[in-house]
Amino acid sequence: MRGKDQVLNTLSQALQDAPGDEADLVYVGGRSGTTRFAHSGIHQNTVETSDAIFARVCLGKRIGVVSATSFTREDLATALASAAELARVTPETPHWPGLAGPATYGPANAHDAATAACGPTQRAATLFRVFETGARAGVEIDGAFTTTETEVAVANTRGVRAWHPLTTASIQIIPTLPDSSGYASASSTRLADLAADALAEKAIEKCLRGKNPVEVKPGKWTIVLEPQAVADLFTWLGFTAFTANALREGHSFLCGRMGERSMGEQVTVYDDGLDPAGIPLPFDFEGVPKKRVTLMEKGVGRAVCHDRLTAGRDGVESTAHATPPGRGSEGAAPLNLFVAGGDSSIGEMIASTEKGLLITRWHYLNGLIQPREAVFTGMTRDGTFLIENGELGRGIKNMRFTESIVGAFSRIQAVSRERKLAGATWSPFGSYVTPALKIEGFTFSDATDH
Amino acid sequence: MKDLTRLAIDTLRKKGASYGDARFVDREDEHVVVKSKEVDQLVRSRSRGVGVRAIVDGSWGFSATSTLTPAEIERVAAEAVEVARSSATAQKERVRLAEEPPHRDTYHTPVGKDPFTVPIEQKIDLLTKCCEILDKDPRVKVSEASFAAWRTNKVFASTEGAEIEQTITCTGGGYTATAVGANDTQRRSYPNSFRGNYATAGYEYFEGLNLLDHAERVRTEAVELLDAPECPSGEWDLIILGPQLALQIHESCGHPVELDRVFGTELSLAGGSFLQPELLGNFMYGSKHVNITGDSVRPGGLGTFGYDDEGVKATSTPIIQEGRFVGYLMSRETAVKLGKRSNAAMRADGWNRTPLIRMINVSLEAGSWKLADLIKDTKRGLLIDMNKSWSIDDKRVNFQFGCEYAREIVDGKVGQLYKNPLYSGMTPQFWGSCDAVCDASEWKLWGTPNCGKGVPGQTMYVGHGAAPARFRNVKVGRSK
Repeated sequence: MRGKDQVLNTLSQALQDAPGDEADLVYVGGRSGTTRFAHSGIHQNTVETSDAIFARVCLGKRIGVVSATSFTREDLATALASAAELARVTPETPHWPGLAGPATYGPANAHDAATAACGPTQRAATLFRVFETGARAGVEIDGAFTTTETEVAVANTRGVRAWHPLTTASIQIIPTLPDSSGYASASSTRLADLAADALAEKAIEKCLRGKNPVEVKPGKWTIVLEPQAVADLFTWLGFTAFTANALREGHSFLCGRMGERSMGEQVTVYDDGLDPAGIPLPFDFEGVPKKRVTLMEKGVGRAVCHDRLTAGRDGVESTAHATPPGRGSEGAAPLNLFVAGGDSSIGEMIASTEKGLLITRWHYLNGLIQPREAVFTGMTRDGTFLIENGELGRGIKNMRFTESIVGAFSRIQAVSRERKLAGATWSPFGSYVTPALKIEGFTFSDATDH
Repeated sequence: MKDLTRLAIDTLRKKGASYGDARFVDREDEHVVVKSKEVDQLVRSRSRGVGVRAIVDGSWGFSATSTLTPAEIERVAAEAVEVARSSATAQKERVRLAEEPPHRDTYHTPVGKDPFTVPIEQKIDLLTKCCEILDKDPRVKVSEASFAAWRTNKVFASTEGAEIEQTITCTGGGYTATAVGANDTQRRSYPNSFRGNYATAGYEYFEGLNLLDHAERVRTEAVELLDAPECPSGEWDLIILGPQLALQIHESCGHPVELDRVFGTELSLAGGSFLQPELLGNFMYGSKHVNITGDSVRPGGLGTFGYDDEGVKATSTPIIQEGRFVGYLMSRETAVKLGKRSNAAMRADGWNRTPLIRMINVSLEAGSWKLADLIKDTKRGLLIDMNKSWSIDDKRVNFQFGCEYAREIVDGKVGQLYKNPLYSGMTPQFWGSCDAVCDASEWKLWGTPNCGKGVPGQTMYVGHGAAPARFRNVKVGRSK
């Protein structure tokens, strides 16, 4: 790591001579390593050391953005000068409110020394044990294991100085047999939280239970969604429903429904960059302090995510959801999303189900079929099981659902107390903390042959 | 660039790599988005760095850096060797590479007008004019017009003696009109959905899209869709137009023939493939009308280059011949397992990513029909255009696509407009139902600029040539 002083001093010095009326610089740098494995062997092992900077210059309400991969003072100056050149030739963005002012930030402990120190050798040693566990069970193991150490910093000519170090560790374990597979995963800011050995046992049990899968008929089913499957749905909802743009442009299911109940009262959704149960980030990429933002409260839409651009356009305050400059109005989306827990458990949900399915996770979700009703499609994958007379049974061949998630979330029968953290697949800073859900009448439209 | 790659190669040799390669990549991007007549994005970016691969003790290691000093390059090359050594402690099988002569060459995308020298004001002006036309109906809530160009200068060098310098330039754009009603939102796009169409070409390609000529139609159709009835469910004969057919090819053919997916090394993200090696040469993927080629040589294709990112010369490979499955997209490591040579499908999304097998240009070859005749020949069907949603299972069998627009065909005449057409199927049955493909006059190269694969994630731009084609008895609609 470069460290707080080096990063903020370098950014401050570059901003001293920044052209234009206002300017900001965002820095994202660090190291990441990913070890991928298939058939119980490492086949891809990568390490990256990088710096990324984003320079934005405002000439009044004319904005130009340049990004680069160098952190020298000279290159920062070049980036700012280039951004100013772009700003000179662009028309005004009339509702641009200007850059954020200085602020103080809440506590967000997200850095762990042991995680930062984890390298390819340590990841390989962990995986060797996982492969041995698989071999004893007669399965091969596939997946990926990633550890990162990152620094994020934002500084601007109005005095914002924000710096945050974080580490992440994530592992996916997918045991396979010719006609079956299982899945378990974990994400955290701390390597020690992953518990890879226990995850392997859990995933292998799913794989073995799923041998000789049977076909079941598509149609309406009662389903128990494990937390990963719920996180998969909210990954899409984060973009199709809870952004300022989705609401303004007519895509969100909240259009015309904000402030009204649109789904079951068990559904409370919020974004909180300071909650230690997620992957904490105390500020957004404009230096606006993070705070808890309630998006849905007991099934009632309350808010969407804004950055300063969309907030200025819509006449509201930023909710601190800016992404690095350059994404325009596309950027503001939930990054640290939480779904409130309930008073049940997966075991209780299964025990109370006469006939249903347990879904481990989804594959290839798509939420663009009819976003106004949140009509999604996707496939089951890596562990889908019959539930009969309160007992978990054998595996089934995968099925496709096509369902309105708004409708489905109006038919929630139970929410688990326990929630699980899943890292976002689309951002190294994103996370979803979600419970398990039991839903009745969920529509499967099709089936596949495996 | 070459000094740093040569230094990396020297270090790899000194540190004991049995094979190694280094890529210096310098990529520039420009993105301009005008939304409802306001500039929404105006970004120039530059990403430069070196990525080094090494094979040691039969296993791979990769390390990459954005710091371009000799000391850092030496460190990274040495690190790649160490990473490979750690891979070897949990090795399944030793890496072998198919033979490839070490090429020493250069390649540059033929470019008429450098897209980076065309004034920004000119681009903003054109995109704003598009939005002005799209916005003329108050029911169009959002118009969005975009331009993008990216240019990659790269040097590839290997311990086998290869040294290749390339400059790949891509340009394109398009627009979307989003019409919003009381309870519905519909959109129409040109020339393709999700920000347009792209080619390996200069600014002349963007000019050739003639964006202003189509904006009135796109606006009108977006608004019409608000009042159109839902597309009826049932079994229909579909004539699928180019943009949607390109994505069908992408998802149901391009991905399952990526040989790394076949061998199970992509299970941690996007899954495997039903096209296992025992089916090669023996399996009818589609009807006799279906001929699909994978190539990296077709002028203007997003998958066109001189050499792939492990130094293999661009080529053309039949994938499906008269319906029979005959070819894969391969790397040197996967090709050797089939006793073959690589066909240049290894591509990396930048300096900081290891190459993976990616699509290049995967195209349905032209048939013999004129579109007008195909429509006349169709008794009852749907003419389907422009993708809106996409999903396929983890072995690329069960798929579902939603589109922007469908028109009913009755007794050879195009009539009723429908919204939200959604069709699904199983890949071999679907392609087996293809009974007609339009000819070369209707054939066009489409570009998918944002194909995702790999962990850590990579985005790749790939090409798909297609002419409209007809498919019989396809399931349309969703169970409710």
